[in-house]
Amino acid sequence: MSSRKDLDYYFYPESLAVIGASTNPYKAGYQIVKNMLDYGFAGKVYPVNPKETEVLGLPCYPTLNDIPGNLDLIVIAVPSPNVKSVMKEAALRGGIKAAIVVAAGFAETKVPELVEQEKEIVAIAHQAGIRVFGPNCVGIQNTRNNLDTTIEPPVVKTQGDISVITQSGAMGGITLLFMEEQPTPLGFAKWAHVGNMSDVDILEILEYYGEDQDTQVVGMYMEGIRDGQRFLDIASKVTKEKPVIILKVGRSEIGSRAAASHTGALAGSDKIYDAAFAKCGVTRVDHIEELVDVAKGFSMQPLPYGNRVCILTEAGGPGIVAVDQLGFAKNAQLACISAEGREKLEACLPSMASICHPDGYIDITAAAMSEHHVDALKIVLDEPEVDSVILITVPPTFLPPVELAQSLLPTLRAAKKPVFVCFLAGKWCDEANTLLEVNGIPTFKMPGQAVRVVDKMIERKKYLDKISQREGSAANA
Amino acid sequence: MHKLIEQARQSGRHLLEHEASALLQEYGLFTVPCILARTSEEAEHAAVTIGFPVVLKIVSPQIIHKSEAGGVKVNLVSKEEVHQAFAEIMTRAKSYDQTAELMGVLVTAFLPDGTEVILGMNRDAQFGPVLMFGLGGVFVEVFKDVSFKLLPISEEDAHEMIDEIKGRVILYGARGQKPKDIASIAKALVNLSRLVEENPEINEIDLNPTVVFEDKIAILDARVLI
Repeated sequence: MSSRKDLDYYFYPESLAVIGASTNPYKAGYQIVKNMLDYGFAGKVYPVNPKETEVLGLPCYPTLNDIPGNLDLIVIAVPSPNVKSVMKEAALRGGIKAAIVVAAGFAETKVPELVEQEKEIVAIAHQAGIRVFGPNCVGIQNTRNNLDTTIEPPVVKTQGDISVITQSGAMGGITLLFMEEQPTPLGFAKWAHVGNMSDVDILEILEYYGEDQDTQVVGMYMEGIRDGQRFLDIASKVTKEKPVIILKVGRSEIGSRAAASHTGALAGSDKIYDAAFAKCGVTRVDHIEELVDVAKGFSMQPLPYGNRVCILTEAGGPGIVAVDQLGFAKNAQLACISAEGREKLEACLPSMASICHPDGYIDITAAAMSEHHVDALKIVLDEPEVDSVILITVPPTFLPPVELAQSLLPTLRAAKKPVFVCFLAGKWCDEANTLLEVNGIPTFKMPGQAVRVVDKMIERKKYLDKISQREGSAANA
Repeated sequence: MHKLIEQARQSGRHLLEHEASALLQEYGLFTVPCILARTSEEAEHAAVTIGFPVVLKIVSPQIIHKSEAGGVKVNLVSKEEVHQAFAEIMTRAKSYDQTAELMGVLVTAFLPDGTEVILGMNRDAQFGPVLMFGLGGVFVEVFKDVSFKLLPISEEDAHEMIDEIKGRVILYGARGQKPKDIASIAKALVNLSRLVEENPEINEIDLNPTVVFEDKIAILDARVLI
């Protein structure tokens, strides 16, 4: 197993021990073991606690030394003053590759003795060849082997291709909750909370996700980093292959001070972070909902070829809202519809339809039935100067949403260009939205969300074009 | 290491303005013609050579903020005004910092009104050298309307920097004015990027103000800190 990477022992341990395992449901040491069992982790789980003989039906070991055979990962769930002695015990036992330290109360307090203690723990671990996650962290989830070392809210874990890195356990947990709440749960591959980053940091995980076959999109909650150059190097490498979406807090001065006290990370000027993200092709978002929306777009749809967006709406107001928001977009612009395309639209749409006022905006009106939606969508998708489509509809009583979704699906699934769908009428459209997403078509509750997503996807396309152009000209030089 | 930087380093100071001008010029960044004058007579001679009206600015390794020290006089139209300005600058500079070594004044052409912009470079603790661009005066001081890019930058990046500021409409020609020479700003930003890449000893550059006209740009003041 010498080819295994350090982080493989975290994400794919064959065996793990929970130190501080407990029969008390109010303790982390109970919940971690329970998570493993409930989720059905495939490897071996060894509870460790000298005061217990059994935890949740598993035999409990007095010390790490009593555990027979191989032991890859230890989850240290004891109070902070006891962590050091556990790490010493782990070092003496030998053979352990990875440790997760749950307890808070180390370097993040900025108390010199506690900062020192964290350093000592890492030094003990490193001498014995053990890597350290945390302290002040909940660890890892992997949907491929049913691993969950966390005490995160017990949500259903849907498999998917989005992987999450977080500097806050809570924000990471909330991200999964939002993903799970989508019309069709947006699944994830891996999830990691790094805490104080005394050893393993967000960049090492980002690099690992970059090489991970199961990960197609990376989402990150970031408070700050310590090594800007390393971030640029790793992020540039990963964004060439897959989108990296980062919610970086500290937009305001006061917010950046809050971030600095949370993880003790260096908080730089926010505008410089913008410049850094632009340099290495990171997609920056402002809040969790946007992170999930953008991840959904990247995960479900191809990148648009260019920046020209057609807004096709059955309802005037929401359509205008979308056009209005597009006016503020950094990259997206309304598309151009050819004279031929306009004629085709006129020929098949209700007479009151408003075609291209302004150009690229088509209101097929509430008189439109399923076939009008489908025909108009086909025509705009065929237009050479349309790179993506936002389709908005507020299905009236005489147009059952599921029927409409069903008629649209063949065209949506065959489309080579990305389409972002907004069926807007609350619960009336829930079933239709679920049906669309099961079939890989992303839906959004409001047009503004779709506009932001398409704008970020265009931004990524522009970045990739710029990079390949640069590499092309470098190769020719 | 560039010999101008090496010289300044050996004397434990930043680049003087005429040295900064010379260094910038090697990278295609042209400051307005300037002559160092050590005496009032030299200043008069320089003003005649450059042509009136002129600007006089104090030259001293210790005085970085020249206006603050009363070390700048603009729109001088005659020999008499040059002499008077020279004397005033020396007196004020002396009272601003009695220990300052006063090397003389820099005489430059006084240009007609253009649009003031700022080009600069600063080193960020995390990400290294960062280029900055913005409109001068109130736009940068009050609205903080500036854009940043990490080095190195291409011409395309430079145009993005210009387009990212809200005040760009002023450069593209607002209220019936003709568009300003945006291509030259972009080139200057690229040249600045190259200068910083090739001279890692430089910690900070401030080309402030740089004035943009319809057909050219002029760097009126250059600060290069090492």
